[in-house]
Amino acid sequence: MSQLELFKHKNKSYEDVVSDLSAMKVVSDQNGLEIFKSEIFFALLHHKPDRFTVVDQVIKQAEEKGISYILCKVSAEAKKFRSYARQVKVERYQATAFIRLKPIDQHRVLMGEFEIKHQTGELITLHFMKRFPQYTIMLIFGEEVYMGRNKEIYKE
Amino acid sequence: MSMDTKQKLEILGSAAKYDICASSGAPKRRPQNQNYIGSNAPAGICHSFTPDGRCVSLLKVLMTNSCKNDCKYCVNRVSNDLKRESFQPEELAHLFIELYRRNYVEGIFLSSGVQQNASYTMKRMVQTLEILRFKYNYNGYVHLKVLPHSSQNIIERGAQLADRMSINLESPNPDRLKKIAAEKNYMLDLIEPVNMIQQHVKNGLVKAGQTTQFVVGAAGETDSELLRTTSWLYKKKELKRVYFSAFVPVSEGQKRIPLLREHRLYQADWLMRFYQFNLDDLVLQKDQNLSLEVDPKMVYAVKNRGLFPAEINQASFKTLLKIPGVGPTAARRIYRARKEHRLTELSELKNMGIVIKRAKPFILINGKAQGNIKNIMTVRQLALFESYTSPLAYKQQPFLLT
Repeated sequence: MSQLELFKHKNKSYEDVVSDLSAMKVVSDQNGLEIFKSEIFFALLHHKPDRFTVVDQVIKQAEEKGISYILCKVSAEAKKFRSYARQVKVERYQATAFIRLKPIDQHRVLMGEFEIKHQTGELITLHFMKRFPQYTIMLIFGEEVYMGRNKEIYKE
Repeated sequence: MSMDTKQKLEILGSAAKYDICASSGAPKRRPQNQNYIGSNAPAGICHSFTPDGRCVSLLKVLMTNSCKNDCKYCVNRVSNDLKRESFQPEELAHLFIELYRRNYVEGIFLSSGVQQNASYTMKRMVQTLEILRFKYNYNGYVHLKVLPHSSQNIIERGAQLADRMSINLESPNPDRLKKIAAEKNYMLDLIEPVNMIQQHVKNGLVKAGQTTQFVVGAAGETDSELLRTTSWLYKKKELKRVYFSAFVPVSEGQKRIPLLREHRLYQADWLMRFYQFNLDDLVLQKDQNLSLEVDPKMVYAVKNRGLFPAEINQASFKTLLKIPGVGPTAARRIYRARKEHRLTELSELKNMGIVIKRAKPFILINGKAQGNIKNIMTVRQLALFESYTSPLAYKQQPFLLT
């Protein structure tokens, strides 16, 4: 996924980050840990450059005070972190509801266009691939084009 | 889409707006100039909310608006002079699948007037679903409205095809129903299908469960009657949801019911479903209706002032849920966060999503009081509550509980 690349310039991958989490004192809360991982995944797709700082801060806080402290948004940073994750989820959801698809190429391709702020193109394409498995999905997000076919996503 | 189909969709989509699957229909809005975007014209697409909060668009449409019944609350009743239209099963299935393919809608809500008889109309509705499921291989969401007096076989077939089924009870008891729909038998035509659907849900069909709808105020029923039947339906019939629709006059001389009453009933309904409130926790006015002035949770908190203020670091989950301004999500956050961290600041609660202004008079943080009830409520409002009562104080037993 594209968010794997986001961490590369910090010499850290998304998987490195979530594997570090397992060493924390709160790992007994397995359900909380899964939610935290998923929130990190979404927060990293936010368009603002300070997403890395925010994620770093909440991981530090989670180590000190526990995952619940973050998931329950007790601190201002935790609130911001969850808000970032939420904004990404909202955009993905809005796109899946508001993109209008146009059947082209004798109804074998469904094409749609939408403006996105965050890096949600891949997630949106996946959604439509699941819904219309017998079609090729072509989605245009500004200058980026995503094409989903046979469980593969191509990006230009 | 042909003009004929488009016209049918306009008529039958608009006629379906009184059936609720989530949000109520909105009145038509006139644009001020040509630079507008969007339209809330009732052309059949309705936004419905899933239990996890997502909003999905459904094609809400009637199979036909021809109806042999003469129910006083219904715009499609036989005595009302309006243009009648019907979809053919193949026509409706094709229309829906084309809208679905273009992502205009994410599911279908299919209801109908009673043409000839209930079984005939239901057969056509079920036929539409069969075309969708088997000819077009449609695998998405279907909400099927069951018509009163439908046969067991047709309900069973519907249950195999639909994700959710519902039948409108319209009134909380047989006496009230007689006043607005004399030709319907409450037990045989309405409660019996509810029982059948419940059985299908238990057998693993109708995965999204069943719902129902009441018309509020059409037969002069009180909130107490509505809430008692609602509570009974949740507990005994395992309904997923009960909808309330404030009565809208459909002919001259009928009185409009304030939308705020519908809103208060929904608030009471949510308290019972998500806030661990029992029916007897709800506080009613002398006339057996909920207060229109103050929301039911605040009325409960003021009426039961002895239970508050609650210490936020020690209160049980049930008590947290009963604090005004604290919802189930916020209560869960408090409950979870305080296991690892003692809450000491009002700002922490604010971050967690608690409505501080409403919660302040009812909480203690680390033993410190945060506010006074007189800051959020007038003396007149407080005096009003002294005469309030609860539904169980209502002596007349509803038919369902006897």
